[in-house]
Amino acid sequence: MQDNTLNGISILFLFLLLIPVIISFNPRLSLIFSSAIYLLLSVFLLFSLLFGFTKLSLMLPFSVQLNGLFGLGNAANSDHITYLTSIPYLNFSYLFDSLSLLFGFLIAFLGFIASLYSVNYLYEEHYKNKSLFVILFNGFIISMLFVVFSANGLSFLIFWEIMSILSFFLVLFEYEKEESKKAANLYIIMTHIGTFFIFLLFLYMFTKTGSFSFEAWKRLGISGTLSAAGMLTVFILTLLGFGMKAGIFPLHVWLPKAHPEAPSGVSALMSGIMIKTAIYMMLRFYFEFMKSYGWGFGFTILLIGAMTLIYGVLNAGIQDNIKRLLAYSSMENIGIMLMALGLAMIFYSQGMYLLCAFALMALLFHIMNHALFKGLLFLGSGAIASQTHTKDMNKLGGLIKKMPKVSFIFLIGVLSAATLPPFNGFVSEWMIYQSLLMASSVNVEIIRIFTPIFASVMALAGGLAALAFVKAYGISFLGRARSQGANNAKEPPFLMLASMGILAFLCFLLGIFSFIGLIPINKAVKEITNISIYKNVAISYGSIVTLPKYSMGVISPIGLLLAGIVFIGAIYLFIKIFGNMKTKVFETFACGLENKNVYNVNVNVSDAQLIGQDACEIKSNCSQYSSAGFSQPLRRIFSGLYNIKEHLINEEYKRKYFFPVKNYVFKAGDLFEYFYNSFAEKFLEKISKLRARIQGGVVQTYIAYIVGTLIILLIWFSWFHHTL
Amino acid sequence: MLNITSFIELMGAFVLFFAILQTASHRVDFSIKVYSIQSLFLSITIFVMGIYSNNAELYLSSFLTFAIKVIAIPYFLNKVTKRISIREKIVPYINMTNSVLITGAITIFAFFITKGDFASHEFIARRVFPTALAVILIGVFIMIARKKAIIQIIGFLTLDNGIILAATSITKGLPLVVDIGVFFDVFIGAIMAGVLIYRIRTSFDSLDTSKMSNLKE
Amino acid sequence: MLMLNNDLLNFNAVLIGIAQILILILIAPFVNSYINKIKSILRGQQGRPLFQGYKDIFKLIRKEVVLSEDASYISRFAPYIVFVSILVSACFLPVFSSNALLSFTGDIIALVYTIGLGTFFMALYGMDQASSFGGLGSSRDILIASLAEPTLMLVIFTFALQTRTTNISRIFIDIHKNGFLNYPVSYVLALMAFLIISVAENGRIPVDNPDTHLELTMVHEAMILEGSGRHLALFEYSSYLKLIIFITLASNIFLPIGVYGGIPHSLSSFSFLTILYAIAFYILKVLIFATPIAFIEISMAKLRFFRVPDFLMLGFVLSIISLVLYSI
Repeated sequence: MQDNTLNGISILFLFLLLIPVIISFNPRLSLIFSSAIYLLLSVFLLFSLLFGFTKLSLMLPFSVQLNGLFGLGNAANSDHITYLTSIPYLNFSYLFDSLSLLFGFLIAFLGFIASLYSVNYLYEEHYKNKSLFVILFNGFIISMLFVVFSANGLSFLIFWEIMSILSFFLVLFEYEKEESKKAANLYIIMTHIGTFFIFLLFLYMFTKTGSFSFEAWKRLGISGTLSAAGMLTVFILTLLGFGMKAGIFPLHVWLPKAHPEAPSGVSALMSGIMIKTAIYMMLRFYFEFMKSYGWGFGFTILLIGAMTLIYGVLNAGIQDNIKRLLAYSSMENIGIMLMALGLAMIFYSQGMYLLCAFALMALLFHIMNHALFKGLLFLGSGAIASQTHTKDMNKLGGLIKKMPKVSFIFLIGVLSAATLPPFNGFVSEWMIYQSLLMASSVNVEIIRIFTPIFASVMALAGGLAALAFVKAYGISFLGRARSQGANNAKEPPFLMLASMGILAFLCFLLGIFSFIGLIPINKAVKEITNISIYKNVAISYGSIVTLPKYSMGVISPIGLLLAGIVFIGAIYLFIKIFGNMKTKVFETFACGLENKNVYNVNVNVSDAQLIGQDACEIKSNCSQYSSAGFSQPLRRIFSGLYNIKEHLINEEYKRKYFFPVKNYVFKAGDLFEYFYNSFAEKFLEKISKLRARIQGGVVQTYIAYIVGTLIILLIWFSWFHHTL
Repeated sequence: MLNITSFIELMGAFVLFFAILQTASHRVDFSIKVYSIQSLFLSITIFVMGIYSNNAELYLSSFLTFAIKVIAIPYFLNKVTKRISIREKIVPYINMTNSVLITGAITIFAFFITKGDFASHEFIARRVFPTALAVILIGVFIMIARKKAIIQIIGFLTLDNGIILAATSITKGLPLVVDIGVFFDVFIGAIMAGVLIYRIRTSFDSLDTSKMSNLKE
Repeated sequence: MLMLNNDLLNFNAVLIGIAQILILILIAPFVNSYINKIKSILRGQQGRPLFQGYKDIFKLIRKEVVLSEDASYISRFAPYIVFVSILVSACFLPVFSSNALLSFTGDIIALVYTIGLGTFFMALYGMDQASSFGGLGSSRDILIASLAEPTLMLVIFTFALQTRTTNISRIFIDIHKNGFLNYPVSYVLALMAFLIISVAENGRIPVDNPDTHLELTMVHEAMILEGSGRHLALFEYSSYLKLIIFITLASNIFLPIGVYGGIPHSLSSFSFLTILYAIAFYILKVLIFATPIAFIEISMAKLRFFRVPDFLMLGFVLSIISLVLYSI
């Protein structure tokens, strides 16, 4: 093709991507348009991932659009395109290999769903700055796309920062709320600390290769010239830098605060895909830019993964805020992904590439599944919050009758997230279990002993995740309404339902016909390990098998589902023939207490106030188990791992002896946030004392400082000069 | 498939299991019961060891274990607890969950350090000795981790069971005189301790040995 | 892999698979009644007849369902899903022959998770009627189930590591061939750990008392307190089935003797008599393993709910020791 044509096409693409921003004065139209674009883009990316025939044309919008700004020329090879700029070392180069295409596809697809959802959601939530939202939202998605397609350290950092800052603004979107401000502050601080480490990492790589381009780094990886100490440095810096974004165990504190505060479509994107861009970069570093490291790295990642997993799920179980529960569950899933990553690294380091490919396949499949079901759950929670005007589960309840469609879709999400068959979460979790089992082939005793223990940690986390999601679903959807807001809820508009429905359908589809998801993943795995194991893994009847050489395991979700359907039919017939199909509806047994139908009860306002504003608003429904009550056993058993403030306030001045009024206050904080806060407090105190001592306010001292500095500099310079 | 050596090992494993269960016990009467069952398995182990090594003295040893440890000592301990009406609950220094975890670590440690040719080249000794060592260490741990004197006695008795298991597995039976001497010793020791408990109880109104630190003044 | 597919086409295998699942379904109520009978005899009572379980189920099926007015479609579907999830997981399980009906669709991890699906829906059922008991039961039951799960997975992994497979049929064949007794200490501790989790998962004493309806102690019964008629029958039956699944697992792993080793691959050696003998032997083994449960129930008091984690911790540590001793 001619350059002119290329430019023409690319300008067209650029224009398409800019249209939503240009027409943001009409948010509804703009979002509809952007959802169409992202759908187109995701299909495009998927096709180019699967067949590779559109690669060249695909590259254009990402490269040529910057041509006018910085572009000085291009140097393109098959899947790589570079634009040089006048700033030294800063090239805007883009990489379109299978791995980045896979992530790009997920981003574009989730972007499509989220923008479809936001078309109605924006109006349901009555946000003020809808146009601003549209601009930020589109910018966020596009910046994520640029992040995964970047192939140059500096340009990557630029897009990474844009992504962070735009998501910061989106977290801060409801800036009137104190909670949002706090969460956004924490987020921006921590994410910048992370970026600092990434910057150090890139500088280190620069000192080793003299270039910021990923290609040079990859050559470094292939040559294997990085020393052991160098690899350790890179490992630690990636862990700190990208781990901060992914929310790994001790660096996670921003995640459960920031994700719930963003508008739901954005939460879905942040939890669903943004935190996984960090995993994407880890993949790049551990499998492309580094080579022949020991099993220790993988084991460390495995360990951190297990800790993230268990910490996240334990905290998810006790949350009252439904979106915070989901955020902690994201942390849990990051743990699972890290475990798979750690296993893949162990296999990679031991030269067991087949097993490595299997573990990577499990990892990427879990990333895909998590993007689907967590996206669904966040969108669902947004639907709940927009209808009931609360995220506190203690004020929800009975929504299954008010919004049956949402309840059914949410149920599918919950089942997938609890990794139960026949939904998608189960399949990827099963693959990770199998990878753990196959780790017994590794010839290292510690790994052989520890991997089953990691499996048991995963099993515990699976059980506790089920607890968290039973709670999330049971408290918010089942039973009776606990507040007027929940009582007045209605089904959300069509597009919100449709966007969630698509995700729910995909959760089910990938649970049953998992091989559909494994086909594109296989391409990405092949990119990393040069091994295509799709044929080994997915066989006919839609079953998934492990690698027979190392271990044997087969599941066939289709068979499972079919057997279930057959059995349900058989039982139904059996009861129909031999039993009684009659059903009588009657009120619930309430130990003889008054148990009126709540929907006709007029709540006595004064009574509700007496009970306390935070407590149950509809008095006759207070005897139901509350969210805090449901997780009480968990809180008590693992009390050492929580930072909980629980008070039973006796408001004696109201009624003292006869039916005393008590108010229960419960606040679940993050233990590590508490640690950091207390540490920061002490640290700052010491620093400020030191500062007070140094800056004594006496002019003579300051002069002495200046002279001292000068002398030190002179000494240093002379020493430096001599050694040179 | 089930040959006699693995049967000995199996019974030894049960002795170990009851030692672990001992650390999870919340109640005094349950502890005594567990001790009794543990001793029963010990006596079976010794008996089968007798068949295996064709040593008639071991039969007698097994019988003595049964008579003294399965019947006499538990009976006596039960009587003591009833007489001085000890509160049933066990008071630990280290709570039950952590105790069990530590016990697990102890067991793994015992098996780990005896992995090589630690004890003997003899098959039985090599297979049973780690178990016995684990039981001994668990007995010591119980004595350290529990406050009440009666549980410390049970810890001591567990330790003694471990020693007997170790001794029989290594030596194929001690000389009978030594054996009888040991049994007599333990029996008298248990009775003495029981009397002592009674005394502690009457003078301190409690069995909590941590209160005995008052004595130093 | 190919072998499994060929087995799928083998008519005898399918027949035996169906026979196995039918036997599980048939003897499940009997085993429960058997445990109750032994308990009664030990208490010096006459006890309910041995076939009371079947009568109870049929009685419940014939009664109409009384559903709470707060109940949603969850309550209408949950009993079926609970029962079917247990039934499907029973299909993964080889009973008296090495070929399970659905051994190609699910392995031992899938078995655990399919049972987990049942637990999940049972917990949702408990919360559906807006009753305070239901929430209480759900909260406790799912916590116990999740705390028991790591131990179960560790015990499973101990076998899976030995045989390098998670396919239950192959695990059983391997254990029957080589025996687990090469590691007696591992064996004993795994057995005890398995006993502990079986007790916990099936809601028996000392974790839960299936006979009581006292709100302080109820776990499983609290969840299904609102159940009636066919729904209750399905819940009861699924708890019977769950118990028999655990007993079958235990009896085939920890007592690997008897006629076993898979159906013959050639028709000539396929004998009806052998199969009858295998079935009889299997039932005998089940009764052997069911008896200690009765003894434990009669001799222990129910633990306080917050003691249950200690109990499960014991199981967890036992299974870890078992596994590590196996590995070193």
